[in-house]
Amino acid sequence: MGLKSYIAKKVLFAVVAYFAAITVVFFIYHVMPGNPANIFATDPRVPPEVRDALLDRWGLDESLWKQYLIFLKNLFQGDLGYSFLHKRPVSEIIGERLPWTLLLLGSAFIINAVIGILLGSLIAWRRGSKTDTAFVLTYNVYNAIPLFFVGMIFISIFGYQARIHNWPFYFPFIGAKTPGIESLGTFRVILDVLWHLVLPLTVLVIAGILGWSWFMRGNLINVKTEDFIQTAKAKGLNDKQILFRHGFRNAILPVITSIGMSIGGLIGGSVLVETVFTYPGTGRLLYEAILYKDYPLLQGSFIIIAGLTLLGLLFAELLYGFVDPRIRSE
Amino acid sequence: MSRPQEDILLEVKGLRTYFFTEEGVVKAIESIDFVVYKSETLGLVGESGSGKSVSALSILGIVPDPPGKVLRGEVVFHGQDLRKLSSSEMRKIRGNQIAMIFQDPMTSLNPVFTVGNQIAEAIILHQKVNKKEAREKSIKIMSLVGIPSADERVDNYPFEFSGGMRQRVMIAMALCCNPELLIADEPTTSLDVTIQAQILELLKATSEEFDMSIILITHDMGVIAEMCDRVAVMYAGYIAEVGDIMTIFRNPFHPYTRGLLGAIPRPDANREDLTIIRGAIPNLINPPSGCRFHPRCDYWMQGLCENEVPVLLELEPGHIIMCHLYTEEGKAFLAQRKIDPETYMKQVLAAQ
Repeated sequence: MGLKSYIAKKVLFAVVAYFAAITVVFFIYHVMPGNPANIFATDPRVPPEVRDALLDRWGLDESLWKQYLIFLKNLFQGDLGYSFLHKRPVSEIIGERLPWTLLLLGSAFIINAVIGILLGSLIAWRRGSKTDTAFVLTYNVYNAIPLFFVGMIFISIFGYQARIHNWPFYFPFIGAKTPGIESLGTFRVILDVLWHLVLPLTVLVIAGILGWSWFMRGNLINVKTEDFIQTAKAKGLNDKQILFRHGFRNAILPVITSIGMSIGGLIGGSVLVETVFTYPGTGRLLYEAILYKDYPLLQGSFIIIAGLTLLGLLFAELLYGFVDPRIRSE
Repeated sequence: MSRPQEDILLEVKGLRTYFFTEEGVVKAIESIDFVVYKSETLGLVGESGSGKSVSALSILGIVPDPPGKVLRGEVVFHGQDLRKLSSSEMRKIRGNQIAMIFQDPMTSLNPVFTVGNQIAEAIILHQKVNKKEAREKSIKIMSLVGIPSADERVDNYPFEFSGGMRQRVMIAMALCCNPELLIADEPTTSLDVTIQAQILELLKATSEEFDMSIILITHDMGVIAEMCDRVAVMYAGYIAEVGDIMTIFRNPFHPYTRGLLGAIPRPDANREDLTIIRGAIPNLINPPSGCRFHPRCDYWMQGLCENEVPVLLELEPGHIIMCHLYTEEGKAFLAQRKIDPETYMKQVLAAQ
């Protein structure tokens, strides 16, 4: 029961789980009312030859099982279907949007996790101090304010007020880059993208750091009451050694699970933040797809979300295997 | 039996530890006094909640703070008061000259490090050795405490050991720096009976081999009888009685000690004869006034015991007791009522 067989087992499990997930997605999408076959087949405005061509192309006139096989075949070839709303292949649309979401949420995620874990540990160490009290207060107050409202306040101050009062700085709050900036060269594009990133990223990072620190603080405070911490004390270790050698490694375990689960959530994006800042990410895409019942787009998005979620969980489980010997040997 | 002053390894004087909780101040230890002589085993006995473990943590200076605080008293070890040491000086003594093992070996080892790492950590901390030497030392000490094929087991994690083996690992960890004093806080309570005997045997053997004193905390009078040279009986944050093992078992003076001994089942006695101590250990946020045992005591002298805390008396060399039955106040109290203390005790016994 070494590390290798542990990894093999987990990878195999992830593959099976993914297959199950896409199967469920496919069938849910096909048993829902208003499936594409109905839309295309009954809308009188669709010319019969177009309808037949589409039905034939997607195999929508075939039986459910045949369709399922076609779906699997198409999926295997990277074909996620065709969006009703955008009238373009789903993979193309997601491919366009995904980099922006990954840029925004990915960078927020990394900053949040790293700073949050460190900050949470430090605060747990000084539990009951003024710093701790201030943190608890900030966390609860900030958490009580909806994210989009924070976004709107940021827009109002750093986007609008800053600009009309000619502050030395202001930040854009629409889109991910200035249209046409490409003509000024790569360097300017990078600067421009980062500049557009500031406000939405700040909103996400404040909330994220507070959240992760809160989580880490709680874990570490719990671990501090464990018996082996007392053993470490009786051994003659100092507080720092106790906290970072004995406490941290145990407290980080639940955080790893959380990290893994959040990776899948990244692609779902932050609908609120992306909407407030009109950011061209997948969160908004998904939101629109739900609004307009664009099933192929939804299905495609879910397939990718399921994949990333499983990858994230797999990553977490592998990391767990390294950190916690008990898991490895199960 | 009393040994000369220079044989004293540790002397606890008037130690007081309170816990400041939201419900109120828990007066876990009000005042305790006892000595530990060189290479002896002192049993610290009492019901759950009598302050045995807190005493141990207070001696080592590792009472969880907050909420706990050692408020006063001295812990004199080798002539110096440990409470006056800086935290870094104290850390050099902890795990080195004074080591401690805990009640539950299942949770007292860190689950994510190998046992070898955890033993070596203490060795590296207190001795000038490199990692390799520390590892070799760990293996040696592991086989010494009876862990078979220690050279392989050293790389195992705690979850790969049984409870008894884990307690052996804990003992190995405590012994690795040749401590002069080992505090064993109910080391066998969570183990099954056959393993208990083995662990006690091991403690006995190593204490002789290392010429080490042990403070053995337990609520099991059988363990005390098996292991200890002297016994200190604790009740609700006070030392009720201290004496050598023979005195305590054959001729206990304190009503609480008598109660504890009466509660031991004996195969040769009628089961109905088993006495119980009425009630339970008091709430230590609002402990009883005077002698904290008086509400449960058969010999309660109303008008005295609830008003005044009895002083510690040394009745005979090495036999110390805190009870009004033996104090001047108590004698005066009974004399006023024209009762002889002996007769009073007999009357109470007869009334039961």
